[in-house]
Amino acid sequence: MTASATAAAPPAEAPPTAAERRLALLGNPNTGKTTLFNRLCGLRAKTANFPGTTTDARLGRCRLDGFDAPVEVIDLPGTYSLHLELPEARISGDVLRGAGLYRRPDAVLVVIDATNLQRNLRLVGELLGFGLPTVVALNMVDLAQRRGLSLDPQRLAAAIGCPVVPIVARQGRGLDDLRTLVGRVLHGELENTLRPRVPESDGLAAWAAAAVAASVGGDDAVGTESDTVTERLDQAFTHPLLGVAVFVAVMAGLFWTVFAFATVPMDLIELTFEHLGGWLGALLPAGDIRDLLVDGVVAGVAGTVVFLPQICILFFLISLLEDTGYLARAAFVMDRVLCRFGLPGHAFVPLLSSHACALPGIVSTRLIPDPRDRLATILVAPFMSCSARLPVYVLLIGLLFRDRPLLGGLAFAGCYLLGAGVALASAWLFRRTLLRGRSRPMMLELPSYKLPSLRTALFTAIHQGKTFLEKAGTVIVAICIVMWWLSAYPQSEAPAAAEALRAEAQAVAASDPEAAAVLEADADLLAARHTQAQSFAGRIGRTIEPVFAPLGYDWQLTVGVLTSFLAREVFVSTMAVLLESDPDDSEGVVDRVRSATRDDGSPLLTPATAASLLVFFVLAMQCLPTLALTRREAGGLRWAVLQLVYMSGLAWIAAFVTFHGLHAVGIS
Amino acid sequence: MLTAVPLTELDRGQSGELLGSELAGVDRQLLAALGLCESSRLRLCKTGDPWIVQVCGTRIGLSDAVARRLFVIPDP
Repeated sequence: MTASATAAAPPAEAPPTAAERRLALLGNPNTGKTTLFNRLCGLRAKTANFPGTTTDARLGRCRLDGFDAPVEVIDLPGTYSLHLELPEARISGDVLRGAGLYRRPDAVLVVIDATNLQRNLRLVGELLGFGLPTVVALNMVDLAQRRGLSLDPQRLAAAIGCPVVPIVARQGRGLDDLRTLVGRVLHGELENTLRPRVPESDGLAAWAAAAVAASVGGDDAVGTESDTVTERLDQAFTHPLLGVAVFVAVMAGLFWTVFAFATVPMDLIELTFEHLGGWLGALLPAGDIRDLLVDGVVAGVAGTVVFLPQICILFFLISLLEDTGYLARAAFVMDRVLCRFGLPGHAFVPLLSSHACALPGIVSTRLIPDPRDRLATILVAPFMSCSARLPVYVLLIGLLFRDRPLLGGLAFAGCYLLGAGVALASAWLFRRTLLRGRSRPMMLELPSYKLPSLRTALFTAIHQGKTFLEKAGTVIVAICIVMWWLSAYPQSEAPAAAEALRAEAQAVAASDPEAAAVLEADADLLAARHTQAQSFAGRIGRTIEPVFAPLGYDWQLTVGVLTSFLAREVFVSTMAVLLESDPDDSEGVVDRVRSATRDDGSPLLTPATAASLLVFFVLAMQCLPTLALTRREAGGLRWAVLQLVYMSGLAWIAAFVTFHGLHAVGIS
Repeated sequence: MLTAVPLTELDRGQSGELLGSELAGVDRQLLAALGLCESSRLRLCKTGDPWIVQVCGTRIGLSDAVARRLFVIPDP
């Protein structure tokens, strides 16, 4: 097959300047549009939101013959029609019209699936009504040929009135012809020969059918025969029992891979930043600037970048799965369960990923097509017990069930079940109140099964990683710096006891360096505890202690709860600092916490207080990075505030009921 | 005379012509954009939730709620 052009127009008098040229990329979902975008633009793409929406707009630059500078390429959201009352169709229509803040493109490259011509051509028919110079990339011609379809691009071009280029985007075949033809269209050398009136749906279907008939000899030639392999796989993957078993196995493999492969790069990132902090600490003189850089900036950046391997690996694997065609089948399997709670089958992957960390979970809600479904999933995803809660669970369950491993194990499972159960119940509640509206019944195109493209998966992983760093990273780092400042300032003089320990350490340094090091470490902990108590965070803790008193917490626990809003695992290190223990020694912390007392001499943590604290940590929104991401992904601060108030309010009530319920049955 | 029946009453492998649907609004639009509009010829590839139909070169999965609302004139 060769590229085909239609009527030639006189060359433009002056070559266009590239800065003025913009090419829009349009197509149905599953046509290989993103693969083509990656082929044309490589890694130079950047992401922004379409104005006033949370929909990603990918902008790239592409080198074309005859242009001395790259042409801007805008990747429009995949849509089946430009006239649907759905965000992706509305955005695409607005861009093509140049409505509002959008700049009208100079030409459109529309990607169509050669194995599914008739439906794809309806979108081309709608597009031609906009009067924009158009090039059609006829993708997957290899697959069409394997299915015995004989397509004639020249006849198709004549039938639809614009140039058609056969390509195989996954292999890069036909891209040179495509670049040449797009360049000629942008130069004004080629024009559309037809501009169909935007027809009614039936008229458009007839127009598309006639075009198919002209190029392949009738729509009956297009894949109406049964495909036994596909049908058997579909039977298995969507079967009520076998489908669930396959899904569980695939998801177990997915998350095992994420955990197994993310551990090494995460450790390396942590180690690198530890060394960087140590190097900066040694290089800079002691003082505020050093503390800000080492404890604020470096720690904040490390706390963000450390999630990058999980996000990139998760999206790499999801892209592979999506490319195989399996994910569309899996969505139906989970839809049967999740629809009872007002969530679509697509919500399963984000909810499951949130068990590792809510951040990649929330980012992966982009897989959910319906905005209300997506918002409901974002709001409840942080209820899932993430890995940051683990150190807290270890500490508190260790306190509650020491030497009773069976009960401890059940308590662990109970925490995970409580989080998941409340997430589903909350989704049900949101979908019947704030996000009221009927869920869209599932109707999905089931793409052909095929081998996944590693290149596309790699591009997707890099793109999602960059998006995460650009969108959330900056806010997260800023928050980390603010939280560090609140817990480190105002700085106070070291207490007399710490000074005495340091003097003692100096005295024994020559004769017993090990004892001196222990004394120095004790002095540091004492000073840190004093600073923590005198810091803004400590003062705030004392001020709002009455809010948490009904749950059984004193000011120390209140400070622990407050500082854990930076990240939940901070609770353990805060308690270690407050109770003068080594934060790296979890058993030491458990023992310290067990024997710790309040200002009045009573035990700091009774069984009822520990259980109340455990329930609070399962349900509360104590992760500012997640709130920052919710604000970005949900499209407004109000959703982040709602998430904070709802989750923490619910956690307070549940902890209150737990504390007083246990007291009522004689456990105090 | 052939009468229309809900898609859920077709046998696996049976073909027919879509007469219409009880869907409205964006669901109806989306169904048409996917290729399932009035007079479309389809073949039922799988029965039970999800129902899978083939329309031209596309396989479309439909939940029970959608399949029950589609009316098809089965081929004799």
